[in-house]
Amino acid sequence: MNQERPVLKILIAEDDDAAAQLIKTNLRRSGLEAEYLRARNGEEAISLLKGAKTDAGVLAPEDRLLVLLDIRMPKVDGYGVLKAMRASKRLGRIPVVMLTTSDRPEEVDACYALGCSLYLKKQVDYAKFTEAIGKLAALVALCELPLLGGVDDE
Amino acid sequence: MPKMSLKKQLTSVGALFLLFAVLVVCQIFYTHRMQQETVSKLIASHKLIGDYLALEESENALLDKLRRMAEREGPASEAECKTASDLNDDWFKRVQLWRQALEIWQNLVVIESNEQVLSPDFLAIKKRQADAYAKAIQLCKDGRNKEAGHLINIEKAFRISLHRSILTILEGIRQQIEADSADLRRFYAGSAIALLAALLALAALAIGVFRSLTKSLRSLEEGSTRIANGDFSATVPQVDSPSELARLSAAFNKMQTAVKTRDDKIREDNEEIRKLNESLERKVVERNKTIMQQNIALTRKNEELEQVLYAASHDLRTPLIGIQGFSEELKGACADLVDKLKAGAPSPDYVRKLIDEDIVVALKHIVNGSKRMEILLEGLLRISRMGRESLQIQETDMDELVKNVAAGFDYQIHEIGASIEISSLGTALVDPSQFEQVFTNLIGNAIKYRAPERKLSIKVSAERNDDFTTFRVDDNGIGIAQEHLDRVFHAFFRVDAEKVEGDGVGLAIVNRAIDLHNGRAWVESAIGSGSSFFIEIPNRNFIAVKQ
Repeated sequence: MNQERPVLKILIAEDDDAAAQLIKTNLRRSGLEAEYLRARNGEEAISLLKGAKTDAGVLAPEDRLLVLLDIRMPKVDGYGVLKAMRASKRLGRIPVVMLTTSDRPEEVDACYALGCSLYLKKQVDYAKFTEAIGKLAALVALCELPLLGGVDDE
Repeated sequence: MPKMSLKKQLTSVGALFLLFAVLVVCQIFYTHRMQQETVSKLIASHKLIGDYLALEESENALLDKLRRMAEREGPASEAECKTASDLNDDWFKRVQLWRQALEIWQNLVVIESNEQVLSPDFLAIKKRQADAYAKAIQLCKDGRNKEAGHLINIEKAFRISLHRSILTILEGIRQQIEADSADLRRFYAGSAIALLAALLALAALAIGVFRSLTKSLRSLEEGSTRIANGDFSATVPQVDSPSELARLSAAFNKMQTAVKTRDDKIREDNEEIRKLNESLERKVVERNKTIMQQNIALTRKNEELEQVLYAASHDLRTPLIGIQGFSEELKGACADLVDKLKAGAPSPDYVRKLIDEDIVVALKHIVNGSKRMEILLEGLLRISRMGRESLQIQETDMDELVKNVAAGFDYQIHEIGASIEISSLGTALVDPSQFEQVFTNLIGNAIKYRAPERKLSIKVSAERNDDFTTFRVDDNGIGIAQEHLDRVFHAFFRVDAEKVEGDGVGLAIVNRAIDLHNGRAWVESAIGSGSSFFIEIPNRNFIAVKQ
C-alpha cells in the first residue's frame, strides 16, 4: 500500500539552519509522513523544482509536493521562487506556504497576490511556533496534494 | 501792479479814499464859506439901500418941514427952528455914516462899472446941502421965508443924481452876485472833475488790487487742487504781487518741491519695498525648494532607517527563533531523559543519540544564533554610531589616507597574492576617520568577494571636475547581479551569506558616510568580471548636515 501511494515530499526553502531544522522537527513530530528536502536559498529551491539533483535530494514526477518558502533568502528570495513557480504550468498547481519571520501587511498581500496558498509567521515564541507548524501539518494531512507531474514544460 | 505788498496796496487804496473824503469835506466847507460871503454881501447891500431910503425919508421930512416953514408967513419960532436944525444935523451925521458904510461895502464888492457909485465930492455936496438947509432954517427964523423957499427948491434938483447912484449900486450888486455864482460854478466844475478823477483812480486801484489778488489766488488754488488730486509735479506760476502772495507762491512751490521730493522718495521706497518683497519671495521660493529637497532627503533617510529597522528586526528574529526553539527542544529532551531515568536505566542507544545528536545540535544552533545576533547588534551599533558622530571636515591628503588603509590589508593581500594600485588621489575636504572606514570597507569587500579562479587586482583612482571629486575602487572579483545593485547599500543585505563572513552593514556604512558628506555612492558591476564602486563628493560649498 505504502509503495503504491506516491510519496509526500516537503521542500523547505530556508537559509537559516536552525529554523529549517526546527520546522522539520515539528512537522515530523506532528506525525506527518513525508520526505524533507531543504534548500538553503531560492536558487537551490528553483533548481530542485526544475528536477535537478542537489545535495538535498531530487524531486520525482510521481511525488506529491508541498513547498515551504522563506522570503528573505540569499541569491533569489522567496518572491522570486514563487514568481518562477506560478509562471510555470507544471509548478503552478503546487501549494506554496510562506513561512517567514515578518507579517507586514504589504508582504502578506504581495505573497497572496503572487499566488501563495498560505502565509504563516515563524513565531519567536516556541509554543506558538509549534502550534502553527502543527496546524499546518494537520491541514496537509487532510489534503490530497497534487502530483508533481512530468517534465518541465518550460 | 507794481511789486507791492497787499498791505501797502490796501493802505494806498485807503489813503486815496481818505484823501478823497478830505477833498469832499473841504469842498463842502469852501462852498459854504463862499455862499456865506455872498449872503453877507447881500445883507450889507440890503442894509445900505435901506439906510439910503431912510436917509431919503429923513431928508423928505426935513424938506417938508422947511417948505412948510417957508410957506408960512412970518418967521419961524425959535423952537421950530431948533427942531429943524436938529433934524438937519442928524441927517447929515447919518449921511456921513452911510458914506463910510458905502466905502466899506465898496471894498467888499467888486464893481466893474464905468460909473462911479458916488461922485468923489458926495460928502462935499451933502455938506453944502446941509449947509443950505441950515441957511434955509436961519432964513425962516429971520422971516425971510421967500428966500428960504427958493433955496429949498434948488436943493431938490440935486437929489435926483443920487438915485442914479443907487441904480449903480444895484448894478454892482448884480454883477457881484453873477461873479460869485460864476466862481461857484467854476469851483463846482473843477471839484467835480477832481472828485471824479479821484474816484476813478480809487476804483482803478481797488480793481487792480482785487484782480491781481484773485488772479494770484486762483493760480494758487489751481496748483494746490492739482497737487491735492495727486499731481505732485504741479507748480503754481510765480506770483509777482502782492508780495505776500509772491511769498506764498514761492512757499507753495517750495512745499510742492518738498512734497514732490517726498513723493518721489515714497515712490522710490515703494519700489525698494517691491524689490525687497520680490527678493524675499524669491528667497522664500528658494528656501521652500531647499526645504523640499531637504524633505526629500529626509524622506529618503527615513526610508533608509525604516529599511534598516525592518532588516534588523527580521534578521534579529531569525536567530532568536533558533535560540528559543532549540532551548525548548533541549528542555524537552532533558525532561524526557529525566523521565527515562526515573523509569529505570534508559537504553544506551537512546542516551548516545541524545548526547551526540540532539543536545549537541541544539547547543550548536543556540551558540550560532547568539553569535549571529551579536554580529548583527554590532553592525547596528556601527551604523548608529556613524549617524551620531559629528563630521570633522578637513583638507585631507587622500593618497596618504588610502595608502594607510591598504597597509592594514598588507598581510591578506600578500597571502592571496593580490595587487593593489593607487593612482594619485590629491586632497579632498572630508572627515578622515570616516573616509578611512569607507575605504576599509570597500577594499575589504573587494578582498572578500574576490573570484577564486583569478588573481585579485584592486585599483583606486580619482577624477575631479569643477564641482565634484569622484573616487573609484575597481576589482576583478565575482561581481554583483544586476537585480541586487540597488540593494547592496542597504543594511543587512548580503548577496551570499553562507559563503562569506560579514555583518551586512559595510556598504550601508559607506553609504551613510558619503551621505553625511552630501555626496553620492553607487556601484557598477557585472557577474564574473568585477565591480566598480564610485564615491562622489562636492569640492566646496560643503554643508555639514548635523544628524
